[in-house]
Amino acid sequence: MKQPTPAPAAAEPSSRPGGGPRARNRTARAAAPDFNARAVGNPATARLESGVGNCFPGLEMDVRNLEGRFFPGILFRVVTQPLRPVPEALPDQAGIRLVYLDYLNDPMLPQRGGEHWVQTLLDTYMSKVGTSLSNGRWYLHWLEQEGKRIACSAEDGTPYDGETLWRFVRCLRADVPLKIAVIQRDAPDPQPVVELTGRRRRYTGDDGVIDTAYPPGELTESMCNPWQHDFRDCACYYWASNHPDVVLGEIDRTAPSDAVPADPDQALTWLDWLRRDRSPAGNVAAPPSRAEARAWQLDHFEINRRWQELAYVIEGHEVGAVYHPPRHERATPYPDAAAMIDDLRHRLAPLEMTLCCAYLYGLFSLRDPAHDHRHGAWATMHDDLVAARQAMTLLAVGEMTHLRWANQLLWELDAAGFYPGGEHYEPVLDVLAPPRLWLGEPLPDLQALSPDILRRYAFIERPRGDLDRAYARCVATLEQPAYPRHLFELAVRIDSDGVSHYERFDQLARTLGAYGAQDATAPYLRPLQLGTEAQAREALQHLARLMAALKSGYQAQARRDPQAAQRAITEARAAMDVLRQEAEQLARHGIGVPLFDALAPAP
Amino acid sequence: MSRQGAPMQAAAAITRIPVSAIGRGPLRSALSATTALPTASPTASPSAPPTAPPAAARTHGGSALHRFDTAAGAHLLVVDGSRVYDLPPAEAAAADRALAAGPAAEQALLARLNLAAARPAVVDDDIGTPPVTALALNIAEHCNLGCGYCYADGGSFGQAPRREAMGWAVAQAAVDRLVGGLAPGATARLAFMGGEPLLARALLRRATEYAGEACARRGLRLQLALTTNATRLTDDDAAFFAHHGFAVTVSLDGSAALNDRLRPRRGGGGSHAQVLARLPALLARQGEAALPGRPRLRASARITVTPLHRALRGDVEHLIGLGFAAVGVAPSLVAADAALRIADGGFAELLAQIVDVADACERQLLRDGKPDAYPFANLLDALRELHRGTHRPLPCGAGAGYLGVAADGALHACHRFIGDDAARFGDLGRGIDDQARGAWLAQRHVHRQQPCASCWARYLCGGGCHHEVLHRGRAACDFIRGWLDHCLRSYARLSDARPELFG
Repeated sequence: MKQPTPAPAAAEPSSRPGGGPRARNRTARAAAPDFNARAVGNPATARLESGVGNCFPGLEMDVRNLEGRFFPGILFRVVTQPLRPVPEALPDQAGIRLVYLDYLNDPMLPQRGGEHWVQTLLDTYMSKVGTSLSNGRWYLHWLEQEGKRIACSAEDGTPYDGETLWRFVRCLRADVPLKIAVIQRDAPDPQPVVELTGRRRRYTGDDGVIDTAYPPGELTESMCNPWQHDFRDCACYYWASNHPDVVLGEIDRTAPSDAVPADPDQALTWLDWLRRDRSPAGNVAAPPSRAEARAWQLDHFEINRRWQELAYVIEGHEVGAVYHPPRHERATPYPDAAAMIDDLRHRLAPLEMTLCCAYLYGLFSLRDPAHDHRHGAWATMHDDLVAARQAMTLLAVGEMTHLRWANQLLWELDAAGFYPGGEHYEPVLDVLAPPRLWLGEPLPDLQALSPDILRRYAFIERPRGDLDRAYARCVATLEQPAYPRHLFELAVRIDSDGVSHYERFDQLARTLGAYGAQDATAPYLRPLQLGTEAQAREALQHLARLMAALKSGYQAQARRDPQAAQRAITEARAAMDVLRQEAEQLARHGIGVPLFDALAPAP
Repeated sequence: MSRQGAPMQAAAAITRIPVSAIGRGPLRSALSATTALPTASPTASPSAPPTAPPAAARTHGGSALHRFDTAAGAHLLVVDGSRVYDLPPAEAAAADRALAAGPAAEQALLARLNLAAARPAVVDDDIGTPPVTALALNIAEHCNLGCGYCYADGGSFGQAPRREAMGWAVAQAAVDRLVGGLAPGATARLAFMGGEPLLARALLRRATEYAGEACARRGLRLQLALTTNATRLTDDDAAFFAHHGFAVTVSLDGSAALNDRLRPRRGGGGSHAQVLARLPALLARQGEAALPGRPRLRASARITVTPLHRALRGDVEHLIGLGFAAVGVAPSLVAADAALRIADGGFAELLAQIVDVADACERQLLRDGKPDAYPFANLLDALRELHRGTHRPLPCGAGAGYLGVAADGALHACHRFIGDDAARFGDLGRGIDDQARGAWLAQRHVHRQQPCASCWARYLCGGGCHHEVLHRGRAACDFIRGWLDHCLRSYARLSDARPELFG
């Protein structure tokens, strides 16, 4: 039986003097006209007004089909120029085509009591003119509103494409008279033109309900193909963005291996997730571009039938029929909250800052291919440097995220009352004091990213290594029921975030290790020396500004003031950007910013 | 079937009843598998007033409202929708005045307090014929005990007893019909009763395995139940029940002396020692892993309360102490032997006894908030239902989602009605007679019962056990109201002190 969760606060008194009856049980609460009492029902995300509603063509409905009835009494449809028209096709099909008249039940055209233009329009539809509109191929010829007329074809008579014209229709106003003309394109010259006056339809009422002119099914009739199809190709990439392009292969987690997988290639080759050949023979490295990969991928027809062969992907790795979560040894919880807070403040948060600085310094040690041209001698160095700089940026940003999370753990623990008596949360933005060791091993330092150093970093960040398990004790402690559940989840997020760091460093080591020298003389590195305070003065000023803004931002978050936090974070970002530029400039001259000295903890 | 118990609750099968949101507190999970057999809806005597409730409380009910007080303040039960409110003192006085003035004034008060619902929660509409999701198989028409209060008259239901049990063809047809009427994803409930079902062990085993296969093929979940006197329970039986995930209800009346007096072996002698020797095998296996998708074995004890029960709390605590996951009580109301049924004048004492147990249970919950420590099913079930705001037009699922199957394949409203043509709805061979079933349910609707139509407890009680009411009339209404009033106050106290139990 589940243990009851601890009651959050003392129970309210059962009657509130002066107030009305207070609902106590579930049916009472559900009946209450109290908008704070939410009955179980469809989640907010299932409602149309909170739908994603992107317009390509849309997820709940094809938004373009609203404009099909922009003019009362007529159903238009947009016709676009095909990519490869066949010679036998009818000419001049592109445009906005009149499909049929539909005025009998149009709510904008009541038989009686409408405005004057309504009656005129109805009379037109019901006359011989209306009959003629029902025969032949009629297209929108021009639109006119407030004295401005837009023609639907170019001066030489070539009709504009339907999608172009659709944009004009979208610009029409609903409350102002509208004149349109339609022209019959399959009639001999001079092609008849009919002018009609009306108003643009309001697509929804004041209460947001879609106009009743649209019969059931019309708004969704041109929706996307089966979702399997969209997984393969979706012109707006919405569905395609829900799956990875490349993934790592499945790793055997049932083996109780403690460190690096025995066969590194098995886990480090990027496979095409949509590859057609799902046998082990098909586990080859993905081609480097989508165009090259296309020929080897599941085609539309295939994916409709074989979608279930696509693999689940967890933490970047394909997972087979059964997922075995990685086995973690249970760490010992801290003896109490105070011990955990102390560790977070003095070891774990500073660890993140230390790594962040080290990785940033490493980033600056890499040549920037846009500015340095030594790579000319090496055909691949340009691309490798671009990728490596990207990777290091992401790693540094990852540590910044961890730093924020570690601070968040602390301020949430304070908010939940776990800080030892009298003390309160203060932002932690220092690096570790020297010697910067982690369980006896030296941590990454401010040094250039030679292949040797990269391999060392990979080793430090290896799965189930000491760095990987840095937060394990936090996780074990916060799992206890005394702590709010969201703290445990936050700790789990931090704890499980380290796997990709190892892989990145390993890849970087392999890629950059191919350039010959394995030490700081490697050709892709800048000759960087740690600078003095005087040399890096400006950069350090930006750094100080950044830290001040960050501190203020964390404090604002801690006291639940999101607006102040947002202002502070914006300022911090601006400072970061300037700092980066300054640091790059210095690095180009061989000077490294002394980040550790600047961020050393107060003695 | 060797003891009295109210019909199986299958409230979810009654599709017309708007069921409120399911509570998520631990109380719900502790109770959801309390037993396949719910507590009986106790009936009360019209003539003897219940023992005066504690001075701090006052109970007063009309047809749309019921007022009750606790130390924390004044409360209101709005009968429509079974809604419980706390009232400020001024409104409490107004409510009392309205109750004194009559139904029109009650409605006016509800309107003024903004508590009147747009449409009633329980409607007069035809209940229809809900799909059957639960069957009780009377697999043995005989029993080795001779309990004086047994509704089944030793299993034969008043007919000439037959020694042969239900045939396999009937049992198989019953399972087929049950499974055939359910869509994949639904839950099938199968209970084995009698007489004493363990006297038809082979059939029990075979039907269980067959049902398991049939449900697996159709993608159905299966819940199995058994009510037994446990005199024939073996270690192997216990292992079987654990493996298949049974909810086992053991009929036991309390201490050794009581048991031996009330539940004698046919041919003389008490049964208590024999049962006690066999229980540990069953109780020790509670919570053992069952087949995938099945609940784990849970053993409950059911006391049939007779006038001989003078220390009910002791009896309940004795059984809790043995290790049962839940203990419930059901008053004996229609026993053939008058000495063994609660007389019209005996309901006050019955109420006092049951409230005594409920108080002990409540004290335990206040102390440590653990329903498992004092699993008195009657109170825990009531608390859960009050929190959910259950409101029903019928007392149970009999004839609605639940049917009883006689040994010859006849289908009855529930296991108590076996042999009674008035509540017979076809048979397995020719199918369920939905017309008869629908007509019976319509006539049992609480709006058509007297004196229920104006009783504040009508949607909590539902009209009382059909079988008891049809045989004895509504003798226990005051007792039921007294018990429900007590549970309402207990609910108010516990939901303040232990809100985490209710979710």
